[in-house]
Amino acid sequence: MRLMHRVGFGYNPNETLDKDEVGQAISQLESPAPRVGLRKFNQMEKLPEPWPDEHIYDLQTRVKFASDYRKEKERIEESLYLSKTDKSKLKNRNKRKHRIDFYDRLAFVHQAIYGADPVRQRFIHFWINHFTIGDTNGTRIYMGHLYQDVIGNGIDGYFNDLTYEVTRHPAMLTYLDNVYSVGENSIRAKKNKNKNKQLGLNDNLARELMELHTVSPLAAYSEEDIHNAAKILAGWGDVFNHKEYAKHFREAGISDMNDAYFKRRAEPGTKIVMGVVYPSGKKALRLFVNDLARSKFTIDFLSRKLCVHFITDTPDIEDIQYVANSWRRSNGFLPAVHKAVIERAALASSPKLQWPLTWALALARVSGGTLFYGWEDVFQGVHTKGESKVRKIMEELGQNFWSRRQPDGFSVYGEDWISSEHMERRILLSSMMFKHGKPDSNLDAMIARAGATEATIKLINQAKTKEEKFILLACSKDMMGDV
Amino acid sequence: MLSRRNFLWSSGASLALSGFPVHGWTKELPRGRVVVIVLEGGMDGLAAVPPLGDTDLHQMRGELITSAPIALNPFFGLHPSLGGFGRMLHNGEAAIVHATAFPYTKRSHFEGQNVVQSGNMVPFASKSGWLGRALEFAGLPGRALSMDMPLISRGEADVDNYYPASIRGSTKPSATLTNLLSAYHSEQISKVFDKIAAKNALKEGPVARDNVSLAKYAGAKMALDEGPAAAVITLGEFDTHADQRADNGRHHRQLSKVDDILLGFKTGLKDRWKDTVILTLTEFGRTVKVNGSTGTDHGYGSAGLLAGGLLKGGAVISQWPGLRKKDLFEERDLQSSIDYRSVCAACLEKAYGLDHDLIANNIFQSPRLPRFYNHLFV
Repeated sequence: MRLMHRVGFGYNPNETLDKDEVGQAISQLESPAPRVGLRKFNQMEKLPEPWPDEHIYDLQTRVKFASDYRKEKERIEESLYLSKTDKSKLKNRNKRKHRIDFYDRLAFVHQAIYGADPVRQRFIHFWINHFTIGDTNGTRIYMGHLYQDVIGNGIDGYFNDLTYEVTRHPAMLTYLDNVYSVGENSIRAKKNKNKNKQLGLNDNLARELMELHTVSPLAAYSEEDIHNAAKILAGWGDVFNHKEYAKHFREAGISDMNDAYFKRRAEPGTKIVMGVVYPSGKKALRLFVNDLARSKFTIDFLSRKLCVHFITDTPDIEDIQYVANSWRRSNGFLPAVHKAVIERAALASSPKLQWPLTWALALARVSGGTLFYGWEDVFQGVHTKGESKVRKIMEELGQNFWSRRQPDGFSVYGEDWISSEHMERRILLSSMMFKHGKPDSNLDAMIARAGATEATIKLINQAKTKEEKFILLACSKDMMGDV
Repeated sequence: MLSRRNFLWSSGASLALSGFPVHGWTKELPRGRVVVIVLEGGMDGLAAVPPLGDTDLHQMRGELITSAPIALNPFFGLHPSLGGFGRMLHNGEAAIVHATAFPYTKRSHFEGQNVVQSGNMVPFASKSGWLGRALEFAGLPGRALSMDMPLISRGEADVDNYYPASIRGSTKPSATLTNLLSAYHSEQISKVFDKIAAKNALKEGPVARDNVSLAKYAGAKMALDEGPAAAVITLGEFDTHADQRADNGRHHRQLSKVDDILLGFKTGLKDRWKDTVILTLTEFGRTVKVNGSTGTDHGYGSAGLLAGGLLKGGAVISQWPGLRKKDLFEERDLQSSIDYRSVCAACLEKAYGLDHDLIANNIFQSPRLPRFYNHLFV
């Protein structure tokens, strides 16, 4: 499998094949490409255009949309005059107006297929999965911002900064319940007027920050460490999609939604986690995350995980050490870490089975076939013969990044994705793309872009129809990978 | 019309059926059926089956105790969202085991889920599950119906699974095509393409999206003589760190889903109900004390809900450890006084006719695992 498939989404029909794949892959890490996509599924010229500004939403707008959506929904539900059909019509309109996750999903897949920075996108997908957010408690409106802006930009910097930004993001604070956590000795808890409602800590985010996002159970921390970490986190966030959010935030003096620290909810005093003393107040989280990010357990755990995802299910110790060394030397500077991953992936001879979604996006990119709606199609309710809705395709492939899921994310092991059902879906999706997505009619050119081996070419030559040849290339080791 | 995508997949629950007899079976088929309802996230046994007779309960978690419990006996009550299950208990076709857990105490979802499904006390050490291994010992390593096989029903041997795809505008692959792919790919993937080729076209109708229909469907499949001997329903979102509440909270909505599923199975299984045992399985219980957001954090001991005609039934089986701070595990969680592996082992023994020592040694790798059979089935 060629490097551009291991660490990218392959070459599209307009890209020139570079002899120096390694250099090309690394250069994509360095500069983010503009956001692009297709306007319409059925357009004649498949030239991507800049993603429309009106469909890029900042955090402030998202928080406001979430609260407006809620207010409007309640208003419709409580109305005494509307008929059942009218209510459902208005509810749908409200969804389209305020629930912008449709656009986030589209932008996500279009960038992988049409963008000039597929390698960069692959690393973004890795970190999105590492810092998994599930669709619960209204997180979906914030997920696109976390994916595109926070992680999308965060991979240009240091791991500790990325972790800090992700940890205090509304999507994470909501998904892992920190928005409900209140220090037991906080001003808020002491002035609690409602005696039936006890206020206190919630350790969900603290636990996963340590177990899944950084040091992992290798660090052998105690239950008390988790509890104290929860004390550090208390105060970060309040219910973001509350209809009275504006008032809450104004009263707490918060203008930046990504810096929502509510002093009244914080646990006073110093805190000790894994033997380190942290001061009271807002700065403790920053210091705590820095320590977690610097830990040797984090470096070992994540160097291995990167190698498993990009190189092979059972990476050599040399691969892991090479990445870990780069991590240590650069202090967790992600472009340097990712560069090390690419350098090792370039030398790899062991096979790696790609995620179903990675494979599908690569197939669309390499074949030039259309797989998803354009942004104009979305609100016009356009139906095409192929399954063009992003959510449906992600679900069918068993890999929806906007689904309800557990915080450990999708498995990075190729072996976990082998089953007759998964493989049959790959055949069916290839068949659908051939029939409806108008892929490049020049199969030989596609074979060359995919870097197909002799064995693959021999396989393709045994098929009789064009569709079968297309499917065989799509399901080859060069496109799909192997274990 | 419902799309087939929703097949075997309803609101928040997914189903896997396994242990279909291999074609050409000659021995007499075992009649017993096992259904495991996996409650992901950590089910709060103290909310589902509150020990109302324990005076410490109110002090520890007053705001989480239901206002209208069903009285089971002078000590235990049942949450009203388990009304259907309560009637089964009354009729002697259900039982509860309380203050129980797998002996895993580290409170991580992912390690815990792995342990309770694999049956191996070292997290991530086993690639197969206790139910899958039991099916193999019972001679039933057949096909499975699911998109992803849950770990619990994976065996040591390779099991084929099926789950109809729904990708509009595509054509089913021909045998020529899958044979070519099989010949070309390396062993592990090659085998998969062989299975696709061998698979019969399934003429399954759509199943409605609600949990009752899903369970009824599974029950009806299991009722057949050549039906699957095991079903696993996975139900998520028991991780109620917030908004668990006493009556109409998140945890109780999940409990009513369990109730629906139990009733659905009973309807679907018909006569086969008398040969069935259903049990819940969760990675851990939740903290005894309420946390700051009307919820609970990860704990240890929980309760197991069992139903089905194989049970002697009617009782809450428990060696109650108490709720005073000194009685709690690490001064915060309900203790486990019954190893839940013994409960699982007893169900396998009864339904599949396996010997307890074989189950203890070869399925749970714990030769000294106590036998719990008499408490549930005699």
